[in-house]
Amino acid sequence: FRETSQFFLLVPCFFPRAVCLISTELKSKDPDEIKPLIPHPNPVSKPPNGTDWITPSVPSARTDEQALLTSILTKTAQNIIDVSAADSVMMEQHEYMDKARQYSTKLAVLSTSLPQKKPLALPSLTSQPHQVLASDLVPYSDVQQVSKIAAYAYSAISQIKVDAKEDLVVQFAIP
Amino acid sequence: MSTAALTAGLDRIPDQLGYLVISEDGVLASAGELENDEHTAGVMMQMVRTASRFRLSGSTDPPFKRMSVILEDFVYTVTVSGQKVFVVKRQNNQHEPISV
Repeated sequence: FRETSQFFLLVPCFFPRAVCLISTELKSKDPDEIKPLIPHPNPVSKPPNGTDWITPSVPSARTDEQALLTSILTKTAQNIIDVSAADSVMMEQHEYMDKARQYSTKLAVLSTSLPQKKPLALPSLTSQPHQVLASDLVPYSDVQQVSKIAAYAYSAISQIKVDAKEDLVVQFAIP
Repeated sequence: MSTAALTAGLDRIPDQLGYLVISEDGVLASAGELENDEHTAGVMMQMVRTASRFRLSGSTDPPFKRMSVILEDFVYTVTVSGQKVFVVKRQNNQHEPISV
């Protein structure tokens, strides 16, 4: 089964938009909470209607192979967010502190407003306790049958094994 | 209901060896082999509380009237009525049928 989880995957390089995709699964109404931590460097250069990058004017192979190569490199560079280039993508100190304070406050509010767990009241099983307790005991044959069923169930459960096929944790293949 | 009224009927249960009447606050009455047996009272309370949470699909009520803890020589029969737990220790006369 699937749980909505609160995590940010900061995936560098080739999938800058992945940060945005994952944050929208959090179902938060607050725009500040779903704003990506690493903003896209050139929003205007987003391709229209999700189509692939196509240069408006295709240079002729004879004279502009170099220009074509340069334009490809430029566009690729525009689409890459280099997380390691700390200076250009870090939040300002005060922004970071503000966000941290905002989250702490929200956490404090949520933890105090959680309802206290009350112990469940025992439901009444009968209005005739004496009659119920004085009735005939469970027949021995019934006890035997149930014991046998329980033994079969135990045996079946103890034969459940995990068949490990692949690693659960893998490295991102980023060249 | 007075304690006397609660326990009157329990005395007369066939082959009973002792009983407990327990509320959320503690043991209200005890007799016979279960006299002052707070340990057994605690265990029975936990067991019946757990069992009371079972539900058969499509039902809102617990699917049983009496819980029996069956041991070699005796049986604890347990039920709940009016916020009180009744435990009666009875002789276990149900044994392997003897084939002649």
